[in-house]
Amino acid sequence: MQNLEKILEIFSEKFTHIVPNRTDARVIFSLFIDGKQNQDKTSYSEIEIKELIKKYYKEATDTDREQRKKVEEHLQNLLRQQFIDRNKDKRIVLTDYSLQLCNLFFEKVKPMLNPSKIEKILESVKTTLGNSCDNVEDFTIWYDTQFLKVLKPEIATQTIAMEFQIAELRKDLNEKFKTLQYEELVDHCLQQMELLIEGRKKLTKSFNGLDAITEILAETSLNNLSDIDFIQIKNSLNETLDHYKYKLEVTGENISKIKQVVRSLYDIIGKKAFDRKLEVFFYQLLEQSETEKIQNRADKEDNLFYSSEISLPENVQNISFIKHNPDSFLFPEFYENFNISKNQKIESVGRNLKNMETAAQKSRKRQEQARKIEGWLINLREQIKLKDEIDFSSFYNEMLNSEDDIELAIKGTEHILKKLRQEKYRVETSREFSIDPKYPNNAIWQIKIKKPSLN
Amino acid sequence: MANQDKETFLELKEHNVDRFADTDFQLRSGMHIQDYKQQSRNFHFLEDNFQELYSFYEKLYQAKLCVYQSINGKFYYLDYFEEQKSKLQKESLKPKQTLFAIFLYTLHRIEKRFSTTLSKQELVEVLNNHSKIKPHIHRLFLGEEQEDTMPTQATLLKWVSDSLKELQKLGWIHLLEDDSEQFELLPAFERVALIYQDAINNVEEIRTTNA
Repeated sequence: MQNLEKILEIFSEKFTHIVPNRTDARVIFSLFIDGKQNQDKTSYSEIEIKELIKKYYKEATDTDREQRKKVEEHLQNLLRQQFIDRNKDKRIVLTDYSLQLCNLFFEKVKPMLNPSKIEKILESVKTTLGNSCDNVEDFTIWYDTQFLKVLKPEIATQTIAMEFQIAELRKDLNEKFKTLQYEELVDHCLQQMELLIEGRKKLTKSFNGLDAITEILAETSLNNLSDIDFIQIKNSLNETLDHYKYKLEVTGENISKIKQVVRSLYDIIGKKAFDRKLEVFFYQLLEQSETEKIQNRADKEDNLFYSSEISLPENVQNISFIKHNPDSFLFPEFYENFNISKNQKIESVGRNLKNMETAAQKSRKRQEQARKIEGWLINLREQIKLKDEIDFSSFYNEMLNSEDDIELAIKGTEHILKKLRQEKYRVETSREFSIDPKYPNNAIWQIKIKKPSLN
Repeated sequence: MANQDKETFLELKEHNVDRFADTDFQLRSGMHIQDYKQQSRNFHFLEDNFQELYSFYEKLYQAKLCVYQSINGKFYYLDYFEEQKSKLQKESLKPKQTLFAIFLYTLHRIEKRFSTTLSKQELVEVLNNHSKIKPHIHRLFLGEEQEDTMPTQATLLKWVSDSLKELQKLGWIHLLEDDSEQFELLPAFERVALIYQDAINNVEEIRTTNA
């Protein structure tokens, strides 16, 4: 029954495009499940149906009369849409249409009860793949008929089932947390976790088998044909498998989070008092908070009731936090790789870290280039000490060959010549240029550097 | 890497020194840093250089680099030393955002202890259906208890959404990128309890005094 309830949940979430109202779907499927479990019972009284509607439609109404009216509306709706009907005794039955619909969905979601079914499907899909790797046409047919229609829906279904089980476990533990004693709660948690972890282990094992498909595809001779259709299908298939593996990983992370809370329950005994006080504190805060009305309001219509602000009681201060960025940074070199801080913009944590990383890399490169250029300048100064005249074009080519970085050579030339001019060296440029055969697209004017004249 | 600046000396481990600027910027923007997605590298930088950075913030700004180990994980943040004015300024959340933070913390702690991912709609449903919460929330935000209509829903959803954005700036929650309807509660959300622990523990006393 518990599993059927789960199916009911999944059913109502997933097939709303066929049954327009999710709650209608729950009512119909509840009747269907009940019929499966009590095969003798084929019809229901109107009161029974209304009770069922009341169970699923949780609508806030001021009076019982209004609630009765709402339930009646829903009942009439179900009748009007021909999901249910009255038999000759005026009792309610599911229509043939509903029965067929439910049967279809039941078949569709039934495999969720068996996470290991995927292994069997995988075996058969692998065999057919092996036989379909001789040519692209067979492979395309395999992809359409086996992968897209058989394996992929199964993987998707199993993943949804696992996600659903985790969500259900959370809901269940949240409920039990409120009612059970801690010792009982711990026992209950461990028991439930064990079932879930066992299910996930099975699913992980099944998913591991998916690697075999990737391997077969990587080794097939079709790779040698460079056929665009094959390449596209292969990529799409691998992407699909990666996607579901990622989803499975996420379920693992979610289970870990629940485990963490369960583990903490051992420490939590005795902290219940804090929770009780927290509850009192919160309700007290709610009671004592006041609205500050807006004067001359000009709100948009959809914000009509929105108050400008509220005031909290005296004993509850607003949450405050440090938020201060000084005018200048004390350690500028630490910030060199951090372009945002230079502008001192305040941005949220969600800013684009990738751009920051690129900017940081560029900055590192610039620093490295600057360091090397300084080295070449020192080198040139030493050479010029020993000679009266230096052929800068040769020096440039040496710098270019040695660093193998045209950007650095150009920036370096600019910087070195500027420095030398400042230091009163004579820089003489001719109309002829020099080219290094290794860099045929890069030329430099013939430049001579001469020591400063004593005059 | 070592740096000398008047009286303050900062020596950080070489391998992740490039995280200093971003981490410092985040901390001084009110962010709480934990081992979570984009924050992980800054978190490990803090782990590796905690003592050095603690002294740095203490000497330079009279601010305390705090670390707290909650059930869900460890987190770092900057705060004042008790009764000592820091050179860093503070800002406050608006009262309605403060109220939201306490509401969310209470809801998580009491009703949804095992749920670390919640949705905005889930919160609006609690606000509209919880018999002890609904009357007060409606009084505060809608003037009085109202039927569920588009404007009332929009009002409550706006409060929830705006507040969540503010809490995200503190690193207490994370709005999921692929679905901003859902959000994850982060370990640093436990800071709410740290801020109000005295008020919560003395709640009976306060109630008696007020009465």
